Amino acid sequence: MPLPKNFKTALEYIRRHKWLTVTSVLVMTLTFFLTSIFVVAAFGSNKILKELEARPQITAYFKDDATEQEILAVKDKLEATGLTSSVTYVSKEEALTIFMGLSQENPALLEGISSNVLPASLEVKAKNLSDLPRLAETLEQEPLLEDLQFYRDVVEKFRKLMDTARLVGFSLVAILSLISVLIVLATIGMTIATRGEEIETMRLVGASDWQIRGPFLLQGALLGVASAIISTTLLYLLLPILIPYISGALASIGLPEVSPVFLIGLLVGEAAFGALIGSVGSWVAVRKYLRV
Amino acid sequence: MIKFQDIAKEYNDLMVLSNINLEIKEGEFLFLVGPSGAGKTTLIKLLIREELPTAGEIYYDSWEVSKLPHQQLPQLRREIGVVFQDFKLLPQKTALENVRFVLDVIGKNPEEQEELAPEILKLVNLERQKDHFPHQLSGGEKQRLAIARALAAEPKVLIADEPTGMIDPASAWNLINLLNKINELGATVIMATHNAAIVDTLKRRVVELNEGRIVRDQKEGGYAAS
Repeated sequence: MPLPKNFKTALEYIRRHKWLTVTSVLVMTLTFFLTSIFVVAAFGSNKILKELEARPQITAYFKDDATEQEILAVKDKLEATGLTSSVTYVSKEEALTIFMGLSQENPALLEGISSNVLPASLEVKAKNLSDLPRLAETLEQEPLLEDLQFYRDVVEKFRKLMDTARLVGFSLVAILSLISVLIVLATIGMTIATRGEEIETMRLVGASDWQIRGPFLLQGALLGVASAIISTTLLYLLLPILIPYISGALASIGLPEVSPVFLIGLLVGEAAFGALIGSVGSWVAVRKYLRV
Repeated sequence: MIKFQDIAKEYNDLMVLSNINLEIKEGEFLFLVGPSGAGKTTLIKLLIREELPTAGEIYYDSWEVSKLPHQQLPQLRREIGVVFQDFKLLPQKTALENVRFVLDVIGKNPEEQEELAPEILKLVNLERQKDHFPHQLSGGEKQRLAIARALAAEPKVLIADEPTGMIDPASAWNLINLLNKINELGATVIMATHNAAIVDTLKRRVVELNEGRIVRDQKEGGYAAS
């Protein structure tokens, strides 16, 4: 049976069951949309986590009177422990350059600032996060140390937050997927049940299983694909609005760009999943009436 | 061509057919008569395997119908066209689409369907109602559409279950002429009927069922036993 004909019949089935179609497309769209948001957030948070981990985990600020030699000596001492992956010296002048870069939009802050105001520092990264306390201890013994900023807590807190968010998100998506699968099955089941006698008649006048099943499978698959397209379009339109909002909340951490490739991948994945649910649902629902 | 051998059929402990032995040759015209509930419709259902017999065997050519694999049923049903007593029209399709569906099923391409479907409707005088859905048709029109659909597949065997039940006498005779013509063209025709006048006029083979048994099988019989 040629595809265009199946297609035409499938569209006819959809047209004759408008509201059931709208319901199942809405439910599937909602599921796909939330899944997409969750997937985007999961990818984003991973990147944020990596970025956080890549940051200096300890920043040690030195007193104004510490000389470069003295600070470099401390650097050597830290490196000698073998626990660090990198130790970077940031001089007063470099600190000023960085500060000026960060404050470009706020020229008022820059007035009257000289390199003397900002402390020199060492940015320390550990090979293992668990070694951070020992490195911190070593640093704290230095008489020249002014202040110590410890990033481990930030990273850990973020990681925990992400773990929780991921669990909640995953559960939500799982529950929604289940609900949407059930609703789609019920919708297709209902459209087919109202035609049970018709399907039996088709069999009795000599239609083969595939001649009957084809349009129904296509109908189910079309609903799934349509939902995936609507959901991805929504996401595409809403992301530019959502991202600055989230970025604002996260201050200096740059939220990763959502690439078109990623969106297309998401669309294809969801469309395939939708088509699968739709067609499997139709298959199961029709089967009952094909026994004649 | 068709052979029922020691057939019995039971529904929930109720014996509706028993000890049926019947052979129908290719090109025969056969009337199936008997009171309502005698088992005529059940016999037809068994032949197209809408139902399975409780005991016995049914042969269509070399096929044993009750053992035919599921995938081969369409082939059987394309060769045996049935005008169902309850019509079994496709409610969501128009008269024309009902006919086209069968044409499509037997593998006619869209152009052929376009050409043949109206011709077939014309044969049963339904060309004006071609765009009507079954629920918009009268009882007689539905019956004619059911006949048109059965004819569309050019079946080797045409079975009509009470095809004159809802049509006026003139149309009934038109129908009989049509069935006769189809029979002359080589198709085997089996007609279950209560219409005594038709049976008596045509003088064809008559098989009478009563309470699930064949009580008469007469070569050139009338509606009632003579």
